[in-house]
Amino acid sequence: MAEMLSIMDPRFIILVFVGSVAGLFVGSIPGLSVSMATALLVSITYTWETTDALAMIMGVYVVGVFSGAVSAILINIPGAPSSVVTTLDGYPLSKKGEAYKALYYATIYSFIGSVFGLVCLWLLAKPVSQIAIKFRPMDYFLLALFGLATVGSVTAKNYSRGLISAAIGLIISMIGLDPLVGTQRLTFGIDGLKSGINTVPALVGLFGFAEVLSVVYDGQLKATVLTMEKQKISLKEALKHWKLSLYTSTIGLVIGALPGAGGPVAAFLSYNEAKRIVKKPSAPFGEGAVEGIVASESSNNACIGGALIPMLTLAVPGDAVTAIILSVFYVHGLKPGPMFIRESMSSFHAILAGGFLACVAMLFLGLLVAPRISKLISVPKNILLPVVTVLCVVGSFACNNRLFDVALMFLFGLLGFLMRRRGYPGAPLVLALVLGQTMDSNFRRAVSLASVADNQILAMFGHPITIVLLICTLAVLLGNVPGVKKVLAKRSA
Amino acid sequence: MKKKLAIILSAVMALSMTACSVSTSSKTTETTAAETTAAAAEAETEAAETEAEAEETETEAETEAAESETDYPNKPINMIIPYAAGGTTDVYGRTLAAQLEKELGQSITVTNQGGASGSIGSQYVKDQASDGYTLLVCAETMGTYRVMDTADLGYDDFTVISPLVGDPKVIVVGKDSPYDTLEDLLNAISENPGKITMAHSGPGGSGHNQGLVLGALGYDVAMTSFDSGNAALLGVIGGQVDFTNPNISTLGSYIESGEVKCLAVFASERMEAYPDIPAFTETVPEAEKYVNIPYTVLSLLVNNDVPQEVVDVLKEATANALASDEWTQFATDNCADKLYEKYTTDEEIQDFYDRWQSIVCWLQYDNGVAPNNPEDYGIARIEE
Amino acid sequence: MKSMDLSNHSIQEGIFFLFLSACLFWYGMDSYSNSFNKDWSQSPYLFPVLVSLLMAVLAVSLFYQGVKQTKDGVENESSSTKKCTVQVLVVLGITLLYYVALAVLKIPYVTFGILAWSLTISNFEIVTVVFLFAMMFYLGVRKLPILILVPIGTSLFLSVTFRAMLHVLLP
Repeated sequence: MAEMLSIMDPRFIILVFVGSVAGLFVGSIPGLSVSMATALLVSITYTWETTDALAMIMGVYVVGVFSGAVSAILINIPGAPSSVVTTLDGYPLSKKGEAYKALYYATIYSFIGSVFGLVCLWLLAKPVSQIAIKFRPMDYFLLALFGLATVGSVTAKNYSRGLISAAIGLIISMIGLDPLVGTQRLTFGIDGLKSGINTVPALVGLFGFAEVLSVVYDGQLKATVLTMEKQKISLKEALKHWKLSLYTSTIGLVIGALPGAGGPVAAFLSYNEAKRIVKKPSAPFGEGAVEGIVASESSNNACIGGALIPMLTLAVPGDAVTAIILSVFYVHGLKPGPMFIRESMSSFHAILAGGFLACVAMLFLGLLVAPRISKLISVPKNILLPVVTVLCVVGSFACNNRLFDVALMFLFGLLGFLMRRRGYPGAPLVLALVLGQTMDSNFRRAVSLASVADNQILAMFGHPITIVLLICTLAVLLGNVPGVKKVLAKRSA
Repeated sequence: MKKKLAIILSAVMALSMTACSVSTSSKTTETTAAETTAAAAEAETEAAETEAEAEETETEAETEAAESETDYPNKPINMIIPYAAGGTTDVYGRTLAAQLEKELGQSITVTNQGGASGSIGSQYVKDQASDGYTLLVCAETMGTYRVMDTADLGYDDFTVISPLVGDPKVIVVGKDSPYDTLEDLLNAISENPGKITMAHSGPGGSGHNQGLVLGALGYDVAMTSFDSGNAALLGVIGGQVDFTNPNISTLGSYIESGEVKCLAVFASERMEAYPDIPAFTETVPEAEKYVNIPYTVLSLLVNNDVPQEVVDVLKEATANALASDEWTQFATDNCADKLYEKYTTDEEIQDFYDRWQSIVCWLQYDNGVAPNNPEDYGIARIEE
Repeated sequence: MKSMDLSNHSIQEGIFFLFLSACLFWYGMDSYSNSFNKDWSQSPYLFPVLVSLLMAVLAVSLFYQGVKQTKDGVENESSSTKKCTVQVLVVLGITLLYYVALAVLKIPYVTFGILAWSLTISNFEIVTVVFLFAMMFYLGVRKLPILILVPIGTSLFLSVTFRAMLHVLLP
């Protein structure tokens, strides 16, 4: 602790704060992503001292993940895949004029989630990293399948439509070079498709540009984005959901610690859990239940601590942002791995201190500044939407410096628009796109590893984690088959 | 204060108008020459660009150019890393860029353009003007794009400024593994052909190629591809896979913590930093012809019709940058195989890439990993 | 057949997705038969075929729902707000022009030094100003100060933060 405090000189604090402001800025502007911001920081902080670089990056990372919720709540455009879930209840709240309340809850529970994740990183890094080692390819596949299966039920009134959206996402995720053999799939001879579809243009198009088109279609141009009134919310009232928050934070932590799954899965599973546990939400889920925001924001922020664990202790990044932070470590001559926490104590402490400071900055920014920013966003839509379009273009270009991605973004915008018109939710598509590669490669990897065993079925499924996940997945899938659903409904009635 | 702002704003507006007028003129040049000589049109716009630039900088510095035949570089340089930020290529590329900036006296902007085994970024560089202002730091997959049917690109599309580093590969098993030496492992493979599992970093990558070498030497292993070298390593530590072959640069702290046992380095000599790890050829002498080339190769390239003077400037600057203390320190810390010290003359470099391409492409084709016949691309089989 | 009312959305979509899954299935099988790797468990086309089957099941269930809906006489859910298809097409047209302009025009880079900042004006800045102006005008903004200041402000802001300060490439 003392060591941690010694890092906290004013310079360090200021850098964390500057990073936090940048994170708020990047996260809450639709089109700009946290992974893009951290990638930029790699080149900016290249020549800096290690602790300075870490301070700045932690600021951007922690606050950036939180502030994806700001645009999700205010204009229905999530800043990152992990904030997709926040739109489900956040945007309905702001349509009711209760954006302040939504932001307030998002801030408080992002804070709790982040702090929870960082404390676990501090105290439980070693045991949690063991979970990542214990997970087998089959387990990753089942976890992803489980996530997709819940998504359908979470987002759509019609389960088939939700799953079809996920299936479209899976098809899109297959485009590009196959991860195991390296042959081209579904590229149709188009060079630009060989690299596969990046999540950023898809997300920005499906939610950003599609929103632009939808608003134009509905002819709601003259309407302002929202009217925001400052509401009085007592902290005691807001903290009522701490049990749910701790539970979903734990989900976020564990899933964050598994490389490849990350924030979006954690948020979806938590939302599903919240829906299952909370019998009397403040409003029906999907129509502005604060419990939905609590679940989504606690878990996607707890993912930060979670994702840092395998990165630091195993040198395997948990998500796109930690992959970039890993390169910062290498550039500064640090070697993440099993000996990192013991050998590079000061850097580890710098990460923790930076993270905790960023949490404080997030609380401050979220409670004081975000409501003011949102006033800025509440300009008439006919001014806001063109600017949003330009930001979508810049954001999708900047993710890989290709104009091709801009074209993709427009296509996804059109797709998202058509899907909305017919009642297909965009969220399962984004999740499937994030998970598709993981599912495909891990399934075949599991089969390949099992092929040398004598009993192949046992080699694939005969492990405790695998069995648990298999049962969960089957339960969710079967529970949504219309026939079974009827039986269950009858029984409970 | 406000007045000042207004002046600036109006100045900006006026200037943007002049820019507009420039733009229309260059647009017409392009449309007139568009179809027949797209390349020429591009060169023209390029010329217009440098002209405009020259006008701009006239007042600042005029006469630095007189020193050599070419005034290269007189504007910032782009370096493309055809992988996402965070990988080995990215880290080495950025370290090199920092040193190269000092030598060339111009800033170098490092840009990541990942995807499709690095072929997207490489294609981008190839499509840029051949003026030496776009550099490419690529990995060894450049040599196998054609046989792997990834892209129509190869080392012969570029001029090699310098090979950079190789990252030695080590054969490792988990700490609880029954195999203590390379001999144990190889005997087990011989006794149970196709039953010993090996994790590698990805299709057509260096780990995979090395597995193919084992196959070529008569050791039949069951290979499974993972997302990255580190993910493959986790599979071994988690006890799901028997062995893997990560790069030494990412292995350091696992060796220290004792979670893995290193059986051999895949080379003909031991490494300086880890003299206790035996070389592969100590156990399998007949592997010499495969292990005397490195399997991970980073290189600095430019388009192949960049003027010779520019290439010379770049070669000299790169040689100096690679000799700098910072770079040497960094490379030594990461146990890199310093290829630029091994292959210095143009012939040696050419020979090295030809040999690498031949061995690896044929390995991949013979084992059914690569769909295209190397012969179709003029890659001859090296008989030894 | 009264139950086959093609105007029902679920039936339309069921047919569409069934067609899509058939295409995908055909693609997977065709590519598999042409590929040199004949091991199904490791074939890159295993997953497409599996997804196509999943999609076929879902499409059939959607179709079935649609049939049931028409039997029950359920109409398509219609949104009450007025629909502006033409406007959407025009907006798409403007953005398409914007994209083409970004992709095709090659405006020379012009760099200015203003105080300590260096500002580069190129096609992104100019095309963006034009695009924002056109789009806002079309969407009904008529206040001249806004029509001029917002486009210029936005593109200058992006240009300064990205190109000048962060050295990011812009389209």
